[in-house]
Formats: sequence, C-alpha cells, structure tokens
Amino acid sequence: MEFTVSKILWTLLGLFIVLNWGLIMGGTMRKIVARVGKRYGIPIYQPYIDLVKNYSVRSQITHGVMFYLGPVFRLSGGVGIFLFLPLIFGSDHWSNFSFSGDLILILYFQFFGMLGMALGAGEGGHPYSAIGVSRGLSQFTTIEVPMTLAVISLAVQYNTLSISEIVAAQQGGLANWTMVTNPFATVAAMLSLLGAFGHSPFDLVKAPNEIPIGPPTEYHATYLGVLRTNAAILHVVEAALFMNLFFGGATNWFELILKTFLIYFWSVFVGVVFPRFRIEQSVQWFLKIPLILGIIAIIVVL
Amino acid sequence: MDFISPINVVAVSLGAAFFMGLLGKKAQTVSYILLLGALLFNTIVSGQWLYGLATNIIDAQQVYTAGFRPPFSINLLMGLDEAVITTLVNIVGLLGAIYMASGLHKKGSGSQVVYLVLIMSLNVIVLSRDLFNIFVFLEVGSIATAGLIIMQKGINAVSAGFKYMLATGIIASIMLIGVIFIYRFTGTLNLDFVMQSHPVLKQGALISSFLILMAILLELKPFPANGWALDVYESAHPGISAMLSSAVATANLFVLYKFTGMAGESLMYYISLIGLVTFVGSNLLGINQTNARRMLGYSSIGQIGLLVAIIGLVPHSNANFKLIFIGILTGHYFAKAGLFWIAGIVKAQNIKEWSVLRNRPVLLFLFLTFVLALTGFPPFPSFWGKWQLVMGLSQQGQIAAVIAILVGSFFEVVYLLRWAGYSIKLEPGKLPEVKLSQFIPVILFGLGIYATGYFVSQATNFGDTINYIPLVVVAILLVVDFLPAYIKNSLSILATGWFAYLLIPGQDTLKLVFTVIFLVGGILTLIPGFHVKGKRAGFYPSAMLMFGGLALLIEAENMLQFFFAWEIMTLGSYFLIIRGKESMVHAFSYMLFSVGGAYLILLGFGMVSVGNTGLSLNLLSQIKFYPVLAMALLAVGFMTKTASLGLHIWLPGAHGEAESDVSPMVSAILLKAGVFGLVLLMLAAGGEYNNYQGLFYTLGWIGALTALVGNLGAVFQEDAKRLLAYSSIGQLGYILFAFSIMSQLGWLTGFTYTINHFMFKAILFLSVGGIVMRLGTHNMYEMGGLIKKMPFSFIAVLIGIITLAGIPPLSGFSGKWLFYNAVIMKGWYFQGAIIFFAGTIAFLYCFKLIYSIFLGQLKDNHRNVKELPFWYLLPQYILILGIMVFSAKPDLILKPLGTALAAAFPSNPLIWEGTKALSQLGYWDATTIMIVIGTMFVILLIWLMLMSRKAQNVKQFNIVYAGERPERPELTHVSHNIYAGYNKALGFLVAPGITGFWNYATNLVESIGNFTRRIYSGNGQSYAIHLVSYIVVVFIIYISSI
Amino acid sequence: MKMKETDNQNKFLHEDIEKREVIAPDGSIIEIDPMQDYFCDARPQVSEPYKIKVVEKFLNWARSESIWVLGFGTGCGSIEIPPLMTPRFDAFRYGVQMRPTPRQSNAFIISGYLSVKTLKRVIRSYEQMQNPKYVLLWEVAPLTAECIGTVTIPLTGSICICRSTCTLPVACRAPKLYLPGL
Repeated sequence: MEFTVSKILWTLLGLFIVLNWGLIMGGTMRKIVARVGKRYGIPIYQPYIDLVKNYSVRSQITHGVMFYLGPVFRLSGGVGIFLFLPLIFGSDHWSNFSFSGDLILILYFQFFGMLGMALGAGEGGHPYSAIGVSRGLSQFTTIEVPMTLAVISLAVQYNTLSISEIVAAQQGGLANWTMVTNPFATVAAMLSLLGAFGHSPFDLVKAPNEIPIGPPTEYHATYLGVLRTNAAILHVVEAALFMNLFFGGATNWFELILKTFLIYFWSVFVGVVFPRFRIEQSVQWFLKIPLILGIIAIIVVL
Repeated sequence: MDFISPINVVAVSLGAAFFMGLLGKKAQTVSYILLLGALLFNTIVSGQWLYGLATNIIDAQQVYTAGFRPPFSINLLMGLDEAVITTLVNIVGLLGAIYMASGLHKKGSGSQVVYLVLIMSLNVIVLSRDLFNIFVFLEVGSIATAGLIIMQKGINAVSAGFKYMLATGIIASIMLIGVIFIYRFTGTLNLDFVMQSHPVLKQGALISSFLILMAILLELKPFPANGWALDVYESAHPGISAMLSSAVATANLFVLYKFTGMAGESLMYYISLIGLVTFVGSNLLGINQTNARRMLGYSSIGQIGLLVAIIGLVPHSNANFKLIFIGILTGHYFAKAGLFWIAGIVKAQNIKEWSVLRNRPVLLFLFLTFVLALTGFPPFPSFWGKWQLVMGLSQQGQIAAVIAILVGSFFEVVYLLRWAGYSIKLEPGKLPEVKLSQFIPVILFGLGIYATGYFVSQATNFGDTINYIPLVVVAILLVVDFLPAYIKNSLSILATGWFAYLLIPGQDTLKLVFTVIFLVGGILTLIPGFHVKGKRAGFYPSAMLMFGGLALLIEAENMLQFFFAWEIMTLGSYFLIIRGKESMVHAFSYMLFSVGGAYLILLGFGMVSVGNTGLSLNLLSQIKFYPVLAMALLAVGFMTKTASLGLHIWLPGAHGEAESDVSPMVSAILLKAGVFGLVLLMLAAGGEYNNYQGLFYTLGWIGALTALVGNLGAVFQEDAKRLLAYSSIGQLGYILFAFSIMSQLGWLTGFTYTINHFMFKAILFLSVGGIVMRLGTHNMYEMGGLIKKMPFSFIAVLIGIITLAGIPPLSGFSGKWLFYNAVIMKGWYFQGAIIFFAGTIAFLYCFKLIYSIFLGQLKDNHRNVKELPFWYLLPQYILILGIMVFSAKPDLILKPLGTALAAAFPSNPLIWEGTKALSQLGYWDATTIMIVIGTMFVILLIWLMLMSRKAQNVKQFNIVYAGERPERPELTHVSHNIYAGYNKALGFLVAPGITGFWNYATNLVESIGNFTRRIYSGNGQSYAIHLVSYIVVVFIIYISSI
Repeated sequence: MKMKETDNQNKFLHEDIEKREVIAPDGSIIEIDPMQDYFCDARPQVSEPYKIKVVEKFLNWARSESIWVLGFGTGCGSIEIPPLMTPRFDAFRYGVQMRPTPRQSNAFIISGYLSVKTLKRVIRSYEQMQNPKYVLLWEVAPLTAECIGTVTIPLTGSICICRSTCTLPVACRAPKLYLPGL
C-alpha cells in the first residue's frame, strides 16, 4: 500500500464522516439520557454549537508547552486509531492506513492519547487533574485484562491478529459473528467496554461534582474544542473496533452507523441505570466476573 | 649447587636457642637478631629445597640421623610436598617474628626461644617419618604455643593458654596410646614401615590408626570440640593467632596427610565427614560473631575443616589433589595470617570499628584482598582450588559434598563480607599508629597472595586460558588512583573502548548485541563521570573490574573463563554499589544473592562436567547427569542477577541507593549479564526442540509473575530511583518470559526488550539520577514542576517512558507486538495476559515518575535549579538517537537477529517485506507507523495553533481552585500515595511476603547458630569433656559402620 | 500613618502569603514572595472579534446558543440553580450547561449577596473565565445591600469589575426567572 493522494483524500473524507457521526451520536445519546430523566433534552445538533463556541473563544491561557501539547496528543490518539482501523469491510477507500499495523497497534495506540493528555493535564498543575489521571490509569489497568483475554481468544479462534481478516471471517450472516461463535469473549469485551467508554458507573476519571471534571479542569477554549473533537471521533472508532471484532464488521456506512450506535448505546444504557463506583470497587470489579468470562473464553477456544 | 641438609634446621635452631638462653635478658637485641637469623636460615633451607625440587635439580632425599638406617633411627624426608609446607611455615615464622618485633624484643630471650622452638618443631613434624618423633615434636610445639599464648598480658590469655594445654594434653595422651598400639601391632614406629603393614592395621589394629588420626584431627580443631581453640584465637596476641592459623595448622594438616596412608578407605570417609561438619558448622557459628578475632577463629577452623575434608574426599592419586589442596591452603594461609596481623594493627575488637582502616587506603586494600581471598573470589588461589575441588568432586559424583562445601562457603561469605561492608562504609574512628615492622609482613603477604593466585591459576586445568588484561587495567587504575577523576575517567573510557574494539569485529550477531550493551553501554555510562570533581577514589578500579568482567564474559569459551568473568563482574559491581550513601546493607544483600547464585552456577557447571571431558561451554548442550536439575541450577543462578521473583529483594535497594551514574551501570547494563547467561543456557539447551519444556514453562511463569510483582511494586514507590529499580525487576521479568517461550518470535521479543531496556533504563536512570543529584532528595513528592527548569531532561524522560510503556511509534511497541504474536503462537495465554496486565500497570508508575518530577507544582526551594550537566545529557541523547533509529527501522537489528536465530529456532520466523514485518498472525510496519503518526501529530498541532488565539502564559498558581487560591506548592502537588485507591484494591499483591520469607530464613540461620554456640561455655572442663566425648561418638559411629 | 496602614493590611494577610525564605538544595537561600511569585498579574489578552461581520454574527449565535454557566451560589438564590436543570425547567434545551470550572464557562451567575470575604472569590473566578464572558447578578441582595447593611462598597465594586451584563433585581424566588436572563 502506498500513500497516494487519492488514498489520503478518501481517508480525510472518512474522518469527516466519522467526526460528524460522532457529534450527532453524542447529541443523540444526551437526548436519550434526558428522556430517561423525563427531560426534553438538548437539540441533537448542540455538540456542533458547543464546538463552534469553544473554537471561537477570544482569549486563552497556557501553563506551559506540555499543557499546550496535551490536547494535540489526545486528538492524535483518536485520529490515529481512526487511521489504523479499517472501517468498512471490503472497501479500499475506507480501510485507511490499516496496512501499517494490526490489532495490537490499535490496542497500544490508545495509550498515546491517554499519556499525552495525562501529561498535559499534569502540567496544568491542578490537583484534581492528577487525581483524575491517577484514577483513570488505575481503572484502565484492570479494564484491559478481560479485554486482552478476549482479544487473545479471538486471535486464537481466527488465527490472525489482522482486523480485516477477523472481519472477513465473520462474513456471511449473524451465525458467523463472534458474538455467536465466541459469546464469552464478546461478553468479557463488552463489559470492559463499559470501563473504556467511561460512563457511569465507571466515570471516576471525570467524576462530575466530585473532582469537578478531572484531567481537563484547566482546559478551555480551543483546547477544549480539540478535546471534544477527539471525543467525537474516539467514540465512533472505539465502537467500530468492537464492531469489527465481535459484531461482524460493516460492509457499508449505514451498517457502521447502526452498529456503532448500538454499541455506544450499551454503555449509555448501563450508565443511566447505575451510580458511580469508588476507585477500588471499580478496579476490582473487572477482576471478577469479566475476568472469569475472559478466562472461560480462552479455555473454550483452546 | 649445594643443598643444606634439612637436619641443619633442627641443629641451627637448637643452637641459636641455646645461645639465646645463654645471653639472658641483658642482650635482647642480640638475641632477637639471632632469632631472625635462625628463622631466615630455616627459610633459606626450605626455600632452597623447594627451588631444587620444583625445578628437578635434585630428587627427594631421605636424611638419616645417628648413622643408622630406619627402622633403627629417625629419618627425615625432604620431598616437594615437604619443601612447600616447610617453606610456608618458615616464611610465616620469619615474617611473624618481624611482625611481633616489639613484643618479642620486650619479652626478652625467653619468648624468643619458645618462638624459635615452635617453628623448629613444626619443621620437624613435617619432615619426620617417625611416629614417636612426630609425637614428641607435636608436644614440643604445643608447649611452645601455650607459652606464646600466655605471653600476652591479661587473664583471658592465661586462661586460654591453660585450656590449650588441657586440650593438647588430652590429645597427646590419645596419640600416645595410638602410638603404643601401633608399636604393639606392627613392631615399628617408622611411618614407611607402618604403611607397609597396612593390611594388618586394617584388620586387627583399627583402633591404633583410629586413635592416631583422631588425635591429629582433634589437633585440627573439629567442630564442635573446638571451644578451646576459639578462646585462643580470640585472646592470644594476634601475631600468635596468625602463627596458629597459618603455620601450625598447615603443619598439622600435612601430618594428617602423611598419616592417612595408615587409614583404610572407610576412615577416609569419616575424615571427610568431620571436615565438612567442621566447615559448615564453624562458619554457621561465625555468622553471629561481632568480635573480629573470634570471627577469624571461626573462619580459620572452618577453612581447616575444608582442608581436612579435601584430604578425606579427594583421592590422593587424583592429579589435581595437590593443586586443590595447595590452592585452598595458600588462600587460607596468606589471608588468615594477613587478617590476624591487620587485627593486631587495628586493635579494634568489634567488627564495626574496623572502618578505621579507611585512614590507610593501602591497609584497607590489603584487608579487602584477604577477605576476598578467603571467600574464594578470583584471582586468589582459593578460587582456583575451590573450582577444581567442585569440578573434581562432581566428576566423582559426590554432589552432596559439593553442596555442603558451597553451603559452608556461603556462611563464610555472609560474615566476611558483612565485615568488609562495615569497614568500607561506617564512620571511621582513629587508627592507632602503624609500625613499619607490622606493616611490612602484611604487604608481603598481600603481594604473595596475588602471586600465588597467578601461579595456581596457571596450574589449574584450562587456567592458562584466562585473560588477565582486564585485571591489569584494574591494577593500573589502582596505581594511578591519586590522579583527578577526569583523567581516570578518560582512561577507563579508553580501556572500555579498547575492549569493544577487540571484541566487536567478527562477533556473532547474538553476542554482538550483548557486547554492544556491555561495552558501548559502559562507555556511555562512564561519560557522566566527567562531571565529578576531585579524585573519586576507588571508583574506577571497581567500574573497570565490572566492565572487564563483562568483556570477559562475552569472550568466555569454557566454563572456567565464564565463572571467572562472572565473579570478577560481581566483585566490581559490589564495590560500585556499596559506594552509595545508604548502600551498605543493600550492597551486602546484593552480594549474598550474587554469591548464592554464583555457587548454584558452580554446582551446575560441576554437574555439567560429570561424564564429559573438557570444560567447553558447548558441554551445556550435552549434560549427562540429571540434565534438568543442572539446567535449573544454572538458570536460578543467572536469575539471581536478573532479579527474578523470589530473588529480587536485593535489587530495589542496591539500584536505588547507588550513586547517580552507578545506577544506570548496574541497572541498564549489569542486569543483562544474567540475561546473557540465560541466553547461552537456553541456546545450549537445544533451541526450539529441547528436552527441557517443563523447566522453561516454569521459567515462563516465574517471568510473568516477576513482571507483575515488579511493576506493581514500582507503582507504590515514593522514591524515584527505587521506582525505576522495581521497574527493572518487572522488565527483566518480561525478558525472562520472552526467552522462555523458546521460539524465534519469543527470542526476538526477548532481544527487543533487552535492547530497549538497556536504552530507556539508562536514559531514565541518568536523568533521574542527575535530578536526585541536583535536588538532593530521592522522594518524588518533594520534586515537581521541573519541566521549566530541566526541559532537556524532561524530553529524555518522556522518550524513556514512552519506550518503556510500549506506546507506538517508539521501539517499545516493537517488543509488545512481537510479544503478542509469540505468546499466542506458543499458547501461553494466561501468562501472556498477566504480562499484559503488568504492562498496563507500567503506565501507572511511568506517569507517576514523569508527573511527580517534572509536572505539577514547582517547589519553592527548586526555583534556581539548573538543567542537568552536559555530561549527563550527552549519553542520554545518544541513547535517544538509538531509540529513534531502532523505532523507525527495527529491521536493521531484528532482521539479522532473525537470521542468526533461524539455526536454533527454524519454525515460524518473522518475515520482512521491506520495512514491514509479517508473522503468521499479523503484520506491523514500524517505518510507516512512524511516518503516519509524525505527520498526523504535526498537522493536528498546526490545526490547534491555527484555531487558537494567542495563548497567554500564566504563573504557577493561576489555576482554578474553587474561587480560592492555593497556598503552597507542597500542598497543591498531588504526588504522595497518588495511587491510594489502587493500593486499596490490589496492594495486597505486593505485601512483602518474599522479604518476609528471606527474613525468616536469615533469622532461622542466626538462631540455630546462637543455639549451637551455647556449647562454647568458656569452661576448660567442658572443653575437655567435649574432646573426649567427641572421640567416643566418632568411634561408636565408626565401629558400628564396619 | 502609611506604616500603620500596611501593618493593618498585613494583619489580615494569611501567614502563607507573607514573605518567607527557603533553602535551596545547594544551600543558598531563596526569598519567596508569594503574592508576586505565584500569581500572574498581567491583564488578560483578548483578541479582537473577526472582522467579517457574518462570521462574527454566526459565532455570536453559537455563543448565545451554548451558554455554559458557572454558578456562584452565595445566598438564598443558589438553591434555585439546581432546579434549573430538572425536567420542569430543563435549561439544557437552550444549550445551557453547568460547568464546574470557570475556565470553561461563559456565564457567571452570582446568586446572592456579596461580602468582603466573598468578593475576592468572585473576582478571582471571574478573572479565570475566558472571553467573551457574561455575568448575571441575581436577587435583590447586591442592589439592596444598603438595606441589609452588610455590604456597600462591594456592590459597586462587583458591578464595576464584572461589567454586569444583566441584573435581575427581583426578589421573587423562582428558578424559571433565571431563564430570561440567560
């Protein structure tokens, strides 16, 4: 594969679509949450307005170079996952730069944004930022355990680590989806997804009303705009990753939109029902049922 | 050339003694000169014979007395053995007289006569072939010794002399009975004739040979019937103790050797058993000693026990018997005399007061020389003796004896090195004035031990393959230690570069990796030394000892070279580590684990040599004797260096408390020596298709758990350097795991991790070490906000932790990717998941490290700190360059490595398509990833800048604080116990259970020692009972077994 | 007289703000003046609005549709803010959100009376908000301060500092009254 101009343009178009879908999906979810609370809720285009407003703030401060670079790292994390993830199965245009690395690359590239953000927030000098980051990292270590087991289980099942090939193996109807062929891995991964998406009960990182909003406490204006852009992209691509791994991938944009919506909805759905965990509860929770499910998933495929 | 007959020794000594007696107390000086003259004469006689016999100018000669032939007269035999022993005895006699010059001079001719008689009697018992003659002179010697003991003032010395008389009296009577029996059964007292009637002795008169041998054995102070001897060592004049330990024991050992001909095979077994029990038991009790001289006494008894065991264990027909015996004997002889003499100079009783030696570096150097010689480190004679002994015993299949010897040696190491540590580290007091007469013998013995070491090494099998050049470099650095540090630093870098220049060209790929890490890494970590002002005494010899050892390790082709290099390296690193301010305890525990590991390696090598000829390292691939056990022993030995789970407790302290530029040496480089050993071992095990699957499976689990515990331990550290040290434990766990996979991908993972760990750990330790040096604190919560003061260090640490955490696009990710593929293909899913979990935990401490130090709030007292010195930054940025190259083009290193590994691991290779790596499972293109991420990052940065207004810089406390303002940076910097919640959730995993285990083990050993020590009541009567009951017990056991 | 004044001022200073000396790692002594060293006293640099009217109008619309509120509840009025987000009033539908940090907020609701002690916090929070920013004073307290007799100067002070965008001098306590203000 080469970096041709058309390839890059197609990728940018894909990014644009993903960004928009991410914003709309975010708005929709907030609308849904509002309706659960018997509210009317925001207009679903509200995220756009917020974004425009954040980018148009007329003054800005910085605590230092790393503070400034933090959001860039964070956005690179999101965009990077997008770049390395094949979105639509069987399409050259929407497979992005996935030829440069496989599933492992994506799993590890998640850390890129996290680390950069953590450092940026750290230079902000705000105590809550550090507390938020420490919680986030703590929680993340155990979130990844069932996820890893599920991924290993998948790699053994399909004998590949290439996402395209995993999706290819799931083609041909619902019966071939990992969800059906390897239910334990799917459940383990979906439980760890709850943590990864950071909705309640695992919303310790930002923990509204407790440590105001954690790491981004000092971030504002354009920084916040960049962070929000990233959040929109990240939600879609992470959901798309799960979609590719467990739910048969997508052969067209509609399928992608539907599936990512449902996957994201799962975490929101749980979020509106359960209250927040404490940090040690959250850390231990992933080492209980999800871990056992992950182990079963591996034993099953052996 | 005319040879002076040995009979003249007796004649001259007696004549001199007679004249000295005539002179009386008036002419002390004259009589002292006479004494020296007689001793010098003795030395010349024995030395002349030694020279003649060794160069074959003359044959062994019998000397007859009274004009008759034996059995009607007494005859003396002067052979090579006798010549060696008498030379040793006479040299220490002469030097001892010089050492005790003031004492002997003051006491007058009486004590001088006694002294001369003692030396003469020792000569006679060595030379004489007549039983009764030997008995008589043993008695003469005992009385003389007792006389010399009570020469020292004080009630203790008198009481010790009395106990000595009591004991030797009992021993003499037993011997006399034995002699009577011998005469009754054989009709002769001449040793040669007695030997001829050996069959008679064996059948009818067992008791006679038993009694005679027992008497000699008791004379050699077997455990536990040796309380009387300990009191003597402790309270006699140190010069006398030195004589007892070196000369008397040497002569008595020779007598035992002469007598063994009388004993049957069965008795030899008991002799060896007695020796081993003495060696282990005495050294065990030595651990609890705080009195230096008493401790030396224990050590002395232990060493003599070892020599007794050697006489019993090794067949005298064995070609190496004499080498082993002489090796260990001379090690003991020089070291013990030297140490007792130094004890006389120091005058301090308690071992904690020995730091006074630091006032005289030469004396300290000699002290360390003797201590290390006793513990069997190279290049001292006992090292070669012990090596040959272990190899020989293993080949005889006597593994149990080897284990006993190693256990005893380990106990000895414990107390001797603790003592060494005290003398190096504790605050020195005032050293009493050193007299030249006391100083000269010590120096001569110091030189003697090195020379003997060299000669013994040349006589050892394969000893001539040892490369002494690194040691020469060390010696040169020792000599020029008075020069300023930067000159010595340049010299060291030159020498390391020279080693590298010699070793790197033509090296095979696998070794090349380690060569570069050891030597290029050595150069890089030496560079910060330019920052040091002053002399930095003792640093460079130690560093070059370590790097020289590492170079030798690469070069090693046989097991002896390997073990030599291993010990040299251990020694160098010990002296480096102990330089840290708080390092005494940690260096000690490092050394204990290292020595323990080295002994396991020695035992393993011994087992490897069973049934094989030669010592080539290739033999590791054809172990015939319990191969799995031998492999496991070697692996555990190497794992003490890599600090695997259970053996890791020394590492955090040792690395954390070391000096700023020593930490990267010992962490980034030295740990790889263990890895190198494991790599050699696993390659020899047969690569992919080996017969040790179970062993490697276990190692894999150990590696995984080490990674978890190490990383989790790092998370909860508040000390920056300890955090890094724990992280090393974790990283080495990964490496162990990866190599245990035993597939090409696994090994590529292992190598990638090894290379990465070398680079990032050197960077991190250099940065953090430099910062600790600048700030004067290890605690991270006392730092913070340094990014603005030290931007270059921040970048270095950032690159370091990104590599450590394995985040793309840096080279850490190569390791992670390879690792996943290797694990899944191998089928080690659960271990793999644990390692992955450990990997995510690494983020926690990475963040804590960089955040607590560089981000957050700048502390008030750090406002004026400067960036790290250039000499610290230079190596870091060279290494960063290395990381960048390895990240962008991993194929440069991994491709040739893959080719090199293909021989041992043919299946499932990593395939390269340009820069893209393909495994059976997945693919990864580091160069593309680098380009994509780099481009994207720049574009997004430009995007942010375009969208932003001018960002206004604000000050430290301009943060949102709920309408309030922060008051002090200390209160605003969240760092201490930042992972409290995590600790609550998972902290139980790192509860110090393993430390608890080792503490328990140490306490157990100490309490056993303390309990056993109670038999030494200090009461002469009890000691007499001990002696008698000892004979009875041994006799009953012996008789019942026939 | 002047001296006396400063003494008087110092009396009210928290001990942490007083000058102090610390010892650097190299042994030198550093004098710390917290008021000067920790805080930035530069005026906020606000960039000009875009020259193109349409763009600026569009942005202004976005700003008006996305008002993020920093609540400063000092008195009885503060209890009225939470209901604003409840189903009954649901300010979300107008793009109103509560933000916990002034950095991200555009509108500042001061919902009660101000005293000397509170005023500095108001100013600090206000300064930490980014431009463009709006202030909503609520309740009678700020205006009828004289009647209550607690604060007089702060009143003018706050208005002068914050350039109040909108003042609601109504004593009626009902959350819905916030909405027109917003």
